[in-house]
Amino acid sequence: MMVMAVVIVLLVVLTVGGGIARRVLRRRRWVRRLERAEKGVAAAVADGRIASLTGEALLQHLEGLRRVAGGGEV
Amino acid sequence: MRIGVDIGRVVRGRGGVSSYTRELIRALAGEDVAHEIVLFDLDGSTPRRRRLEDEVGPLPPRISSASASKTELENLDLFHAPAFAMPPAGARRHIFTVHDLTVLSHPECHTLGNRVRTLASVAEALVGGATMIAVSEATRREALRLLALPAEDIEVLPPILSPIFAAYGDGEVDERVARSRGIGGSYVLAVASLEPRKNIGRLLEAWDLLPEALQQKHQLVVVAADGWLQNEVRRRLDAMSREHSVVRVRHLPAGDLAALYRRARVFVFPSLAEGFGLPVAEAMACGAPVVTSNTSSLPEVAEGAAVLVDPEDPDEIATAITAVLEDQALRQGLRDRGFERARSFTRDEILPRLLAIYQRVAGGCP
Repeated sequence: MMVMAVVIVLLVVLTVGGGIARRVLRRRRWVRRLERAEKGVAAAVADGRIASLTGEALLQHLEGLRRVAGGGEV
Repeated sequence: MRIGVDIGRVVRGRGGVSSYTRELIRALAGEDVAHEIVLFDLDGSTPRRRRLEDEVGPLPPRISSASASKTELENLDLFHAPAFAMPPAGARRHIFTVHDLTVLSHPECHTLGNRVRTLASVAEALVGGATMIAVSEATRREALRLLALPAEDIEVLPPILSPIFAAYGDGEVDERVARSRGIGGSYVLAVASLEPRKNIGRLLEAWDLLPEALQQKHQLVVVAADGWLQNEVRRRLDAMSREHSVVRVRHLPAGDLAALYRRARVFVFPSLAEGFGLPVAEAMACGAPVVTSNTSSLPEVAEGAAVLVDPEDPDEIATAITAVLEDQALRQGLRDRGFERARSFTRDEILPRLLAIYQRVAGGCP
């Protein structure tokens, strides 16, 4: 009986923990993707591939979203 | 010219982007197009030809599929990204279709993942020097406003409407389709996925505001696959579906959907914001009188062939539905104007414009 209870608790902990870990990893992936996009935009503005106004607008959106993705706000 | 197209959304998923891509491939497969087309699935393996032919019909030998490897992609004169995803390596030139920018204008209507994927892809497209195609003038204006794009960097080209959405059909078959879904006589039709932007919650409120007699005389048929952030609306819709006057259909093949459009007394599409609004064009092509929103691209797509309402006002939606249900002359007028308007989105109208853009962007490749 005791063993069964321990197994159930363990399974619950693993399931919940796994869910949280997946969520954290997914958010990290999103943050990294946004960071890469920001770097790409900054480089494109610097060498004139993107107009500076467009670059500024994009960077503002990307940075805002990265903060949301990194800060846990949905 | 050797043109690559990402068809991942045709292989997986439904909705407007999937329809857009499917019709793009179908159009490019026509005998009047000579370009070599290579189909890629950017998120998967090499697309299987038979699977694609099930979706879009027979493909000529000049259309092939390949894995999205660097070598294959660099061998292209042009890559068309129709589904908010850019390839990892470069063709010589890129075209990127902007279906909408509601992840920026209506972020509350999207999941965080959706916002990240869409915005990052738009940024990657601009960094890669892609030519942007907006599916409507309204979307182009949004791109100019939200991304400060130079006006000359974005073109407008509407989607191609599937020929399956046509006013002619076999009445008996259409009736059988309706009956098989629990639809009896006259009905008001709505088609949308269950996501906040589609505003199905307010449509249900509007339905409740309709006079009792109309609710008894007509059904409300909602063709709505599950989307996101809409648990409450989904529960409400499912609860209302247990009553006689509301029917929910989760998914329909395009042919069956066309049958429901043809038999609808009114088609209602009260979306809060659209990049184009394909269901409005589909309904018009099938001869359904349309009630839709007075926002974003919808007045442009309807162009006088629909009753326009404030999508945030259930009273106004209910009043418009009532007017169209009860006024035969109004329905006929909407139907006639809708047919005319839907012709603007046929393959014959759109394809030459698309090929001209391909030619110009590829810099005169034969």
